[in-house]
Amino acid sequence: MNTESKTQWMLLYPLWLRAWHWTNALLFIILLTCGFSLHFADSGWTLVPFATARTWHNLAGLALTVGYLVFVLRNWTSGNIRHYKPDWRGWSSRLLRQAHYYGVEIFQGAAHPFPVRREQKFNPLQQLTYVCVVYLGLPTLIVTGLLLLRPELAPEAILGMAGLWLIAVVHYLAGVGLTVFLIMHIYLATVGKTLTSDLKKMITGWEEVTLADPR
Amino acid sequence: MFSTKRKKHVALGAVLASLLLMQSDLSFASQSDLERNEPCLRCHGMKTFGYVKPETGKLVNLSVSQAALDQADHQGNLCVDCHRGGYRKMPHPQHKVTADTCLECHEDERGFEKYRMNAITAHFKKSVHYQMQPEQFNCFSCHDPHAGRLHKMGDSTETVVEKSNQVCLNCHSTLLPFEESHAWLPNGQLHQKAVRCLECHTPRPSSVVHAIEPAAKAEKDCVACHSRDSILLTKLNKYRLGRGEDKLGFVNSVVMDDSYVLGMTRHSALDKLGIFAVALTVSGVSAHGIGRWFSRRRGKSS
Ligand code: HEC
Ligand code: HEC
Ligand code: HEC
Ligand code: HEC
Ligand code: HEC
Ligand code: HEC
Ligand code: HEC
Repeated sequence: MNTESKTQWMLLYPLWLRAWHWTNALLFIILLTCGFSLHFADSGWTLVPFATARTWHNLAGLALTVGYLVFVLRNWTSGNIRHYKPDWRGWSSRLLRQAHYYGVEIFQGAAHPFPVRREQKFNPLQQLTYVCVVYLGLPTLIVTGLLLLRPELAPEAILGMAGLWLIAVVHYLAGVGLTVFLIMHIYLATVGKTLTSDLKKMITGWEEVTLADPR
Repeated sequence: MFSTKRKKHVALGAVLASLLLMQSDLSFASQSDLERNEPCLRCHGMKTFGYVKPETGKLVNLSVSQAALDQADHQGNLCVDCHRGGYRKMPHPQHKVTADTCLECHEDERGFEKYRMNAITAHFKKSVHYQMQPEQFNCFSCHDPHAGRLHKMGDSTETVVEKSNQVCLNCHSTLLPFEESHAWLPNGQLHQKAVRCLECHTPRPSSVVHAIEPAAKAEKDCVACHSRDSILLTKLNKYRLGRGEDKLGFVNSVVMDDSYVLGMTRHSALDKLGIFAVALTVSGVSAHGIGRWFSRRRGKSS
């Protein structure tokens, strides 16, 4: 493959990034199972006893917070943040192009419309999702989570209801949103060049990069 | 009898007085009680009044504050309503006020049905306190006849919990601090402010208060409270009856006076929305995956 002049293997996912990714994956699973066991405590579907679920949910939540802060800082200083900055020119039509690929062309065996580049490893839809998850979903989840951990810091009342309510509802909805993301994320990890190429990439960090801009 | 009629007069007088003088009616009421209790308060109204009991060597505090009595549940009762049989004379007769004295007024038939004193007495006799130390425990171990003031229907959950727990903590904070005896319960401070001791230490589910059980039978299951059919519904809830509908579709919100209880305060629409969103995603990606699989097979065979 390396012989082809137009592509080159690059380390696009350095160790710190992969470490964060896989710790997050583990923490997500813990938070999801325990969070479910707390919210739907009486459903009969819980996997973890309430008191245990509380302890693990708290610990995993704190770990997620620390990991998140490290990520945001490192993402910025390492320059990896360039992948998160949208190119606004023709943004919406490129989004549609990618959606069309997932909805139609993928079944026809067409090639990915936006191959991985050094300056942009995400496709437009992927980028939009990641920006929302990392800079909207996660902070919302973390801030509301910390307030639930220390309820005495929550505002006394929002909209005439005890402050904790709104916070709890937002935390729940953010959790649902990120669960939806998690499922799609795992599935979309199988649509790379081969079924497992994206998985391998997240383990080794190396990715085959197209040198010339295809557009 | 002793109080209702007089209370009416006092209330009427107070309204007149405050209309004329624009003054508070409290001093009015206490003034007359003060006068009528004067024969006793001459001695017992002194700030320090007591003696050391020779048999036990313990100090018996004989001082009673009229100001505290004015704020208590028994406001408007005279000393001699409870201390009957010759207390005007010195030396006093040695009558002890007993539970029977309480029942004399609080007997179920005499306009006090709502307190169900006979039932309470029966429950009290079953309680771990009475079973362990029948001599030491009576109603006034917990209810100070002179200053005690319980919460009332319609008080906020916060007040109900605080007043109720104070009764128990009077003794149990010195016997063994809550934080230590309940170390298994996380967020101890929060729980102590949010639920009554009685929630866990009385038979469940029921609103019975006085049949306190041995510690071994106490509630230790978090989900007993943190669920939609929480035991709190039969306990704390009794103070909330008739307080209106659940707010904005949240289940059990009114019960807890709007505070949020994990697993108990829930919104069925939001719960369904969450489950629906996840189910939709799972079926969506499954369909997409199956589609890809078929199209690949077709691509290979052609
Ligand atoms: C002259 C001062 C004096 C007056 C007036 C007085 N007491 Fe006492 N009282 C005492 C003393 C001294 C004791 C402790 C000795 C005793 O128990 O007899 C006492 C004890 C008591 C006790 C506790 C005794 C027990 O049986 O446990 C009660 C109850 C009591 N008084 C009620 C009253 C009432 C009600 C009045 C008003 C009708 C009153 N006292 C008027 C001096 C007084
Ligand atoms: C609602 C009934 C009630 C009223 C009203 C009441 N008492 Fe008592 N009082 C009691 C009871 C019950 C006890 C016994 C408490 C105990 O054994 O701990 C008691 C105990 C006492 C004692 C003994 C203190 C002790 O610790 O043993 C004194 C003195 C006393 N009362 C004085 C008064 C005076 C003076 C008034 C009026 C200002 C008054 N009481 C009004 C019910 C009442
Ligand atoms: C002289 C009659 C009388 C005696 C004796 C008496 N009480 Fe009361 N009690 C009352 C009155 C009057 C009230 C106030 C009722 C109200 O406010 O609705 C009251 C209220 C109470 C309350 C508050 C109930 C509530 O839900 O607010 C308690 C508890 C209580 N009494 C317990 C006792 C105990 C324990 C004794 C025995 C030491 C006792 N009472 C003796 C007349 C009496
Ligand atoms: C171990 C402490 C304790 C003892 C002993 C005790 N009580 Fe109570 N009592 C309480 C507490 C706490 C409450 C407040 C209940 C609540 O939070 O709803 C209460 C409430 C009450 C009430 C208000 C009505 C109700 O059911 O809530 C009455 C009346 C009453 N007690 C009477 C009595 C009588 C009569 C006795 C003696 C037979 C007695 N109590 C013994 C702790 C005690
Ligand atoms: C007058 C003091 C006093 C008050 C008020 C009081 N208690 Fe107690 N309680 C005791 C004593 C003394 C014991 C026996 C202590 C022991 O042997 O450990 C006891 C025992 C108990 C036990 C049994 C412990 C065991 O080992 O099984 C429980 C449960 C309990 N109390 C709960 C309560 C609750 C709930 C309240 C409030 C409604 C309350 N108590 C109010 C003094 C008090
Ligand atoms: C969430 C339920 C819950 C609440 C609320 C609660 N308890 Fe307990 N309590 C328990 C359980 C369960 C035990 C037994 C613990 C064990 O055996 O490990 C216990 C034990 C006790 C004991 C015996 C422990 C000892 O060694 O002294 C006392 C006394 C007691 N509680 C009093 C109280 C008092 C007073 C309050 C209110 C301030 C209270 N409890 C609130 C559940 C509760
Ligand atoms: C007697 C009922 C009761 C029991 C039993 C109980 N809780 Fe709670 N708990 C509550 C209530 C009520 C609150 C809400 C406090 C507030 O915010 O007002 C609460 C709050 C909490 C909170 C804070 C988050 C929130 O919802 O505000 C946590 C965490 C918690 N409980 C965990 C537990 C665990 C773990 C157990 C079992 C070891 C347990 N609880 C047992 C009633 C209970």
